[in-house]
Amino acid sequence: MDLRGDADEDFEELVTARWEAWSKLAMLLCGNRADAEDCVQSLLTALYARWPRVRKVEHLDAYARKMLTNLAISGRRRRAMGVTKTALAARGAPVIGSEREIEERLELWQRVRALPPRQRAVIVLRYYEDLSVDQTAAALGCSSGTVKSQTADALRKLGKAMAAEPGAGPQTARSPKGTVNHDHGA
Amino acid sequence: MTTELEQQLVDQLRRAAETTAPGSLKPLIEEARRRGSRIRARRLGLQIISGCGVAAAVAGLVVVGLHMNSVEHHGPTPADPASPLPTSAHPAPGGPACSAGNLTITAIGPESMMTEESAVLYRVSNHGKRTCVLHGRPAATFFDRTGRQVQLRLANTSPFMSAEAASGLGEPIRLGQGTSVFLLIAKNSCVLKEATRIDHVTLELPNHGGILTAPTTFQQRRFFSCASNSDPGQQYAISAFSPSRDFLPTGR
Repeated sequence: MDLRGDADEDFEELVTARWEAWSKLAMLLCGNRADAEDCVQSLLTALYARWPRVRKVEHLDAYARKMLTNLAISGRRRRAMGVTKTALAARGAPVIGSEREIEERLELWQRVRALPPRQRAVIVLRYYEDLSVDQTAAALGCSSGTVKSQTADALRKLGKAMAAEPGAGPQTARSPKGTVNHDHGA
Repeated sequence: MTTELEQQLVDQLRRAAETTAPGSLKPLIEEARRRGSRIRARRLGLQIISGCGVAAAVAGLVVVGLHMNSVEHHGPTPADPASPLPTSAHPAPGGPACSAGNLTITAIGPESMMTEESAVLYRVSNHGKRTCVLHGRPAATFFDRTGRQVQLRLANTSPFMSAEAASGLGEPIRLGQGTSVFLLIAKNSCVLKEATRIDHVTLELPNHGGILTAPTTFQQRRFFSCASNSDPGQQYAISAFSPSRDFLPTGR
């Protein structure tokens, strides 16, 4: 059931063009490399399985981002795609020592990683992908109100955690009061 | 206004993303081809099985229609595809059919088995005093929150529901007092634009058992109708009642 000629080439072309961006987004959504690789593999599998239909989608990048976000939030979906960490273990995600050190220095990122998956997704989509509230809601399949409240909750948690952390930067030592309730709307 | 914390977030997320060192792309694509092809083949198999089932049903209707005409009776009215009938319209074997008055239905979980498909899992419990029998699946009609009917298309296949469950067939289930069965409604996500948020569903029970009403949301999982009727996201599948909550095909 392989795709034929043009369709297969289109698939490979898209993946080649977008793979790096998807990998970065997956890394942020999942919070670690192993799960991120898992997600990207599941995304490619799901895209390939539905490619004849999916390739006609007008906003394919937004569509893929939505899929990736859902995959990152739900482990069951990844299992449905037949992709597991065990299967990926053999491939081995390269972790470069200096990169790990850089990651560890990013204190706020460490706090983001500790957020629940949906809240982390909201933060990543809003602040990394720079999506509006409505676009984020569409990507997550929830209401705009939920996005706003999740953003506010996440910012409150991050602000509190950073303020409590000794040695946190001066910019985070103060309360983010006033930063959590404003509308991040489009 | 962007705050300092938010600016710091933007900066650190970008730097964290930059630490990603993707491996080789080729094996990922090969793996996607291998697994994706397997899923496509399985889906095609389900469609063929379903097609055969539909063909057999059509042939059966034709035979029944010819027979009814020969004895000068009016034939059955063709089913309105937008208002599917419950399966198993025959008397329930093994006891009285369950009626809506004795049943309660509760959404117990979002089942997100597939990126493009979301589903709600229901528990149906018998709070009556007698054992009753449920057989087949109910007919679902969807509504928005103003009570207006939302038209979706019933599909008798779902890649992530067993063929038997998705076709609405199944063994009769004797439902003792206080016991439960499960039901799954799965809907494709809209490929293009979502239109109306679906608020609730009415489920017409087989064997004239009456109607149950249930929400179509669970936590943040929601169904939407699509802006275009030709959108594959207009399709939904509803399982037969099942004693097990695991509707995935064997081996998934």
